[in-house]
Amino acid sequence: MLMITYSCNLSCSYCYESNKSDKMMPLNMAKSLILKEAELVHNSSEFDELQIDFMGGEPLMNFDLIREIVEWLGANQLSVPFICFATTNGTLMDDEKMEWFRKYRNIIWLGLSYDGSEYLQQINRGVKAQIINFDYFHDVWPEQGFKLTIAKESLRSLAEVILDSQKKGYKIAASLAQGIDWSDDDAELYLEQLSLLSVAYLADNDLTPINILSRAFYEIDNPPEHQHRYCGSGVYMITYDIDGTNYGCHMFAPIVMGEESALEMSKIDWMCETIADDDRCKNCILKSYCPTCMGLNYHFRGEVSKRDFGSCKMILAEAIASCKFQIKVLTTRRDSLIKEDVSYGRAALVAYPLLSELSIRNSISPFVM
Amino acid sequence: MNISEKEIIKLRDMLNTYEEEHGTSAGDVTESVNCTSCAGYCSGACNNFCTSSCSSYCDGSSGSCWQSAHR
Repeated sequence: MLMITYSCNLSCSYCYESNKSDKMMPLNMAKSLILKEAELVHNSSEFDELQIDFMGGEPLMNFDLIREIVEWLGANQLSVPFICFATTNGTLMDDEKMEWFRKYRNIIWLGLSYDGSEYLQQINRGVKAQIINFDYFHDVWPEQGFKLTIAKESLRSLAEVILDSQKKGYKIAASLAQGIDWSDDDAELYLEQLSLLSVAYLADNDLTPINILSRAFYEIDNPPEHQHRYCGSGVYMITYDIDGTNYGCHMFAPIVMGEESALEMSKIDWMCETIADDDRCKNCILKSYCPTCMGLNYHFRGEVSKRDFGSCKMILAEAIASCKFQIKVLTTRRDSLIKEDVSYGRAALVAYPLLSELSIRNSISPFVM
Repeated sequence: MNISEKEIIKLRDMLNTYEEEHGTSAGDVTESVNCTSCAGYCSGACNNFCTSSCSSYCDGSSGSCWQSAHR
């Protein structure tokens, strides 16, 4: 991941990058870092391809660098397979950029991050959704999902927003905004909205169930001693900041943490098997199901392992809805089960009686049986 | 949305039948489809998302993918 700019044209309500500025990564530095990483991959028995993520801020604030790099890569193939990628808010696209990205779409993919409706886009991001050409993104990178961040304001219309987008043919991946003090009311509303989504998916096989209803319930009755990692920070992924300093991911870089608290890559033992262990959660039945972002943990709570207890009830709501949905949907597949269905079905059947004992209002996290 | 005891039994029977017919143990979910595109670093829970088409369904912690189950 290359932090190519600290600049962004928006100020989203849930943004965790509080140290934005007009700093940019120099072109020559970006090129040399890419060559260095390609060489590492080339000589590695563990990796066989390189993904180059352009990160910001808003990456398109440094479109000149993206264009230079992609055209350079297009003319001078690396010694290893590669793909470039950038997440964008989509508001800086113009005719020239759209034409250029279409031309180079086999080298660079763009992932659109948006809030799902005109109203939410306006209140969360302060920008009109009409200025984003959703059909362009869908047309150029049809396999790439749009990223939807679930904020408090999104909850009441969540199912409607997701279904509307999916019915237009857009792939959607949703995740909860972090660092939010979710209430029990929020969690109940979330459960209600996920149930509405479940009913819609069960009624229409052409709709692909959203990721938040589709995660597996492995190890729920027998949580592992050590927490699984939920990402490849510091292992599969390295982030180079605008000055070339490396971090496990952008969450540890100055744009999020500030200069004084930024935590360089070398200051964490990324291979340590206990790196993500939070002792408070060791007996929680949702320990493996619950996602944990080490970067956000460090940002909000000062330790990479320290999870966000403010989202426990939201995760519980997700687990309850997902488990029921997975059982329901699998029972409709008598003649079309595949091996993976059996794995997921077994896991859901183990999870269901445990989750049935829990309720949003009356359960207290960690959820220990 | 509620799950009835009948549905639980139905699913359990379906899974048993599948395993009997295919002569295979379902194993655990970590044995399901390996995600080849994101090297297991996408979780769908992360604030980033990867380039792979399975990004919505990839469970990075297990390197497995739920996509095929919803094909």
